[in-house]
Amino acid sequence: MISTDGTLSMFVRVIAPVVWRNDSKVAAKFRRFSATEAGSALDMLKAAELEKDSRRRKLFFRHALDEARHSNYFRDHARQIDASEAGLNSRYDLIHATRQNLYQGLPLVDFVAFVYLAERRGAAHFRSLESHFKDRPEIHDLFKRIGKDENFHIRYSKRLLDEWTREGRGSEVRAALRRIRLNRAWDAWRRSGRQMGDFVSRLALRISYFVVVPPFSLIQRVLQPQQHGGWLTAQQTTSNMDEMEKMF
Amino acid sequence: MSTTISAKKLGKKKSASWIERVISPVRTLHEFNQLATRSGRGWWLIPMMGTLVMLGVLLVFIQVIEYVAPFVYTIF
Amino acid sequence: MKVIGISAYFHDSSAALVIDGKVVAAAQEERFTRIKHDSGLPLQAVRFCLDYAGLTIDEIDHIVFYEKPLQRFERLLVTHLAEFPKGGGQFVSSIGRWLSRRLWMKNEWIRELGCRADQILCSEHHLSHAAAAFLHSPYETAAIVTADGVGEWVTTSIYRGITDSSGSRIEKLQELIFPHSIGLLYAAITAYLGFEVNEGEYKVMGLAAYGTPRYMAEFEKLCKVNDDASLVLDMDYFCYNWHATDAFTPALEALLGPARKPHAKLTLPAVTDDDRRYSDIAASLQKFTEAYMLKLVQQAQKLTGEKNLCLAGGVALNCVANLKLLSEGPFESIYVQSAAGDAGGALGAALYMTHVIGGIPRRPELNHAFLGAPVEKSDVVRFFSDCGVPFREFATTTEMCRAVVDCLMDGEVGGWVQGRFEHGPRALGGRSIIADARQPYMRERVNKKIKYREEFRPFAPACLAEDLKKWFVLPEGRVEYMTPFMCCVANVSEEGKKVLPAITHVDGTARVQRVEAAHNPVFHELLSIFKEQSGVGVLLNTSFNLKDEPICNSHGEAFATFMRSEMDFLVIENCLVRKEDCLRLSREEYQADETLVMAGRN
Repeated sequence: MISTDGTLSMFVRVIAPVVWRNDSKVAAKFRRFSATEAGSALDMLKAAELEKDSRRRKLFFRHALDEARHSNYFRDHARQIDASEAGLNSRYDLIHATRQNLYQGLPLVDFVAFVYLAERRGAAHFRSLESHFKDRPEIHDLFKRIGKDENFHIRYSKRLLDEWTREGRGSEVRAALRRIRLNRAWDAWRRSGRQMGDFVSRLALRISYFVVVPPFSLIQRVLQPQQHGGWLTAQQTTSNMDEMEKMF
Repeated sequence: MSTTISAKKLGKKKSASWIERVISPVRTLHEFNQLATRSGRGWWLIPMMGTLVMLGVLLVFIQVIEYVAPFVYTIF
Repeated sequence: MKVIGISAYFHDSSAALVIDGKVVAAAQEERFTRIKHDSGLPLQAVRFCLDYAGLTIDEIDHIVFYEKPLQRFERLLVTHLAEFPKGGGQFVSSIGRWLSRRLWMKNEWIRELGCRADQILCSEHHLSHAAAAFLHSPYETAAIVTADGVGEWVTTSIYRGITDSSGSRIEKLQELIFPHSIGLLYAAITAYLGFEVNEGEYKVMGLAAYGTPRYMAEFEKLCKVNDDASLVLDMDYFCYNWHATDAFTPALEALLGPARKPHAKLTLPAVTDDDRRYSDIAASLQKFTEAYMLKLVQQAQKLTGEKNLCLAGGVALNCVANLKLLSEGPFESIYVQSAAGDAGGALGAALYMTHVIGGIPRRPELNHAFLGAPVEKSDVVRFFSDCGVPFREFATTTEMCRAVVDCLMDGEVGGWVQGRFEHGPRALGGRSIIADARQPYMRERVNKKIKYREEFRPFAPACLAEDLKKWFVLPEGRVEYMTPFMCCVANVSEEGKKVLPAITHVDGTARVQRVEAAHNPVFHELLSIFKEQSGVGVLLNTSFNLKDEPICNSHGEAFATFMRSEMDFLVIENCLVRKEDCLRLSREEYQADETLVMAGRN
């Protein structure tokens, strides 16, 4: 059975000539990669901050530094390739990144399982791109350098999972890996469903705006003309518990 | 005091009982009716609110779409 | 009585915990989620408050929301009916949100917070603002003026606050209602000038100093102000009441000229006609707002006869207008709470429940703003040690301050993290970036290389309380309750303009923070030692965050911000980290021995 990572690699190789077709697209993708890596760096740094075990903390911190470095690589390469999109202070463009708060949101084993699977997927993606850019040494070398770090991330996270398995927590580790894989698929499913649901909701509301609102609007315009500003003498409300209990 | 957020201090995350899930929205609607009549801004807001709430129920079901995405085409 | 106040769903969600009249903790949600102006239910802020006090949600007597949601929903419906057939876009986005979620707020709270329905109460929006100002102030009686965009219906209101032997009460006197709002006028022009609403108002204030108020006649067309300080906006120029995304109509552009595109280059002092026009419009808006606020507080004085004034609501954060109120207004003393915007609504709701409804006596005094999460020294030391970050730990605060002053004297810029973080948008020495204000190049350097923000943005000074009069000119005897929280600007003295170029804005003012030893001992010590060496007890003080990010909270976030900018040093409690020592952390050569790392020794 072809693994999902293998499927991803194949897919990336097939669409790469379209997706990375010119320098402007390459620079845009690199900026997005930079933001993603910066976000990962913030997540791993938060994990390092909150983790109590000294060794795991060191590993998460090392991972955070790697991701931050990758973010800078992608940002700098984007600038070199396409300097036309200047930011506010072009030399000091800040790559805006958001944190997903993964460490706080997941149990420890799930978090490490997430890291392992995400890094494996990322490494497969970058291997495909390394191959695609074999005729552009500066980009080829970039992905090669990043790949080295990704391999370390895969190794350390796998090692942690293996250690827990050896300690008798194998079922917990397997369940975590299963959950993360399923969550990824489930999230993709929900994302597409959310988009569709959003579209249908908006359509329903738009229709109701032109069906439900007009008669009430007419009644309001007839029975209650608009006020024209000026002070209103305020009525004291919310001065006792009964009033505080009400939502109005 | 550590800055680590401790989830257990917040109180067990719980689903509102079905009674509360029904009562709370009904109470909200009742309060809105009181507001519409008390504020003098228009009794007509009450039937409009009723219609919108029915639409809201539909929207809540539509939110379920994110769980049944591929089947939407067969429903609509 | 244990009360949690919550503000949420609009912008700047926050939570506050008041126990028997004492404010125990308060924080904005954005500090935890790292989403700027986070408007979601402030779960993490509530968790922090409970954690800090060692409580569970079940032990809380009341959870008070800062406004009446049904009144706000009523306003939306009535406005849509009035504006039909315009406003379909806004109807879809806003009503959809309400019908699917916000109307059923109580269910969400029960589910997410684990509370009971009978714990949940609702205050009023402007009342919460008024309570946050008055009940946290040092006054026994005061006039209270609240002005913001809009709450449920109210945009501007005047109250009287009284604390006497029978308890505390806040009496509502007059109010203006939507859509006539000085806050929304300011927001609409902020959008016109190409800045983001609820974020860019500070930038408009900074921009105003570069312009000449040549557009006053145009502003009088936009907004008619009566003698009693009521105002009426000409809604032909604005569409914030029905448009999904825009705040102004083409009529405004016909009057003032084409709007500035967001992120368009803006050079100041202005060299192009457009830049000149934008800065003149900003100056006109600022002058118009100041004149209006002055009239408003005069109306408040007329109604109440009080000598003290509390200001609240987003417009109270206009520190330039506040100087005008101090200088020319009828009140002897003015207080603005540190989180005067919506974030302060949570605190106000909790205080209102405690003192007014609950009858718990209050003790009027000047409170500090350090209500957020602290940093544990042991956590910091362990973090740096485990991660191999080179750092120096000092035995005493004095030694640490001396080392920091040495860095500052060398022209370095650093991050400063001490104790609990501040409640509100200002950095007051809890989470600050500091630098030597005497260096002329410092402003450009910090703007460009550290904060990554527009060049025209000024920086604020932190000044020893005892030196305030030497460097700044302020109305005599009125400023003691404004300056600790950077709520008003001051004119920089002639000597100050020569000595402190980095914090002197182009119009000769600065938004000064008065640093008292009682409320801020470590920061005061730093300034004192800096004064020993330099002769000047003033430092450049800006918030510890990068562009478009919330102010940092924890030691990890401070370290991340430090590494992502060109700051030279970072101080967290008694630990000092220098950038030059950390450079190897960023380089590929920092491998350490992989086996050692995997085995846990490094």
